[in-house]
Amino acid sequence: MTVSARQGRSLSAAVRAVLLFLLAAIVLIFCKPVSAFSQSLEEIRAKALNNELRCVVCAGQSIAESNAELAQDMRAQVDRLILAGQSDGEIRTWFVERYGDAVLMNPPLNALTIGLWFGPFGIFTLGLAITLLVLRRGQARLTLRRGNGEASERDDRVGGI
Amino acid sequence: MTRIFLRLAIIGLGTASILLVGSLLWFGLNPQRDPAQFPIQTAALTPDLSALDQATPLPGYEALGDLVANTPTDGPFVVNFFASWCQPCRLEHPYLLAFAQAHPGRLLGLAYRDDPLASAQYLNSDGNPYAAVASDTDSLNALNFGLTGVPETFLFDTDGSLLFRSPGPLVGALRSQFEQAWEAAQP
Repeated sequence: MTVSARQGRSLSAAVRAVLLFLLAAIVLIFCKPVSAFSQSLEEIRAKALNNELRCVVCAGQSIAESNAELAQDMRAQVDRLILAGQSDGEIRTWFVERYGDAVLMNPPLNALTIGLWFGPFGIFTLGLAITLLVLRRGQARLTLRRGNGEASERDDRVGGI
Repeated sequence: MTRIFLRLAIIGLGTASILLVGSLLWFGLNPQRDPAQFPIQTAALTPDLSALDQATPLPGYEALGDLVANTPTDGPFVVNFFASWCQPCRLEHPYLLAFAQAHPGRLLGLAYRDDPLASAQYLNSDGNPYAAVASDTDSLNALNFGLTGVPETFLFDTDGSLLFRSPGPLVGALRSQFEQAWEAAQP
């Protein structure tokens, strides 16, 4: 009687231990790594590439931002190419060969896009040059007036108000 | 001297900026232009046909499921992406049927993001224009081709180089462009 009771108690303790172990295992399964350092290199590369590639059916969104079906397909393709051992440059080229330069969120610098990259600076320089020219011209006119005595006349008028 | 130069410069720049803004507005506000349309430069593109063998046959169309074996090697051929859920595909469907009748064996079909059974039912009810047809598993071919949506039609030369790409249903202007490219491709 006492022996079987002790046996039952020890059995339930063993069951309890096993259950506790299982519970801990289940909890650990659902724990996600919190640190960015525990991400795999492939995952980090995929995220960076997803941000660089344009979703071709969404206006101005990268495939990382869009959940369009085609964007999902493109993200899956990025993953596949990374797993196939392709470099970031090769993956970009892979998409450019099939979709053209427009698939890159940052337009590449080439003969077609040179105006896009340097046009604003050109326009700024032009504006600066015109401003300087106009200012210098005004200065010249002012000194000319001073020389003719018009400037002093105007000075008097201003002073008189 | 500087004054004349300056005046000329101002007049010139004024005219130039008016023309620039005007042409930007002319281009940007053109009702025919869809700003969401992805710009495609067909000439620079090199789609690859290497995943044609990985497509899944449609139920009832197993005999036509081998796209590689059915790809013509003696002249240009056409690959058309479609889906049973795609409404614009129905717009071009009568034309595809007529094209297939006029040029047997030249048109291959790939169902994009579609249940193979649904694709098969669509072909059963609306008619099958394809000499070979299968479902694009995991969108492998869609990505290899540089697909932007369905329907989309690719005209290839015998050697597999891209001749023309229709980024929408073969109706209206796209159809006449496709027909021109098809005529030009004939050996």
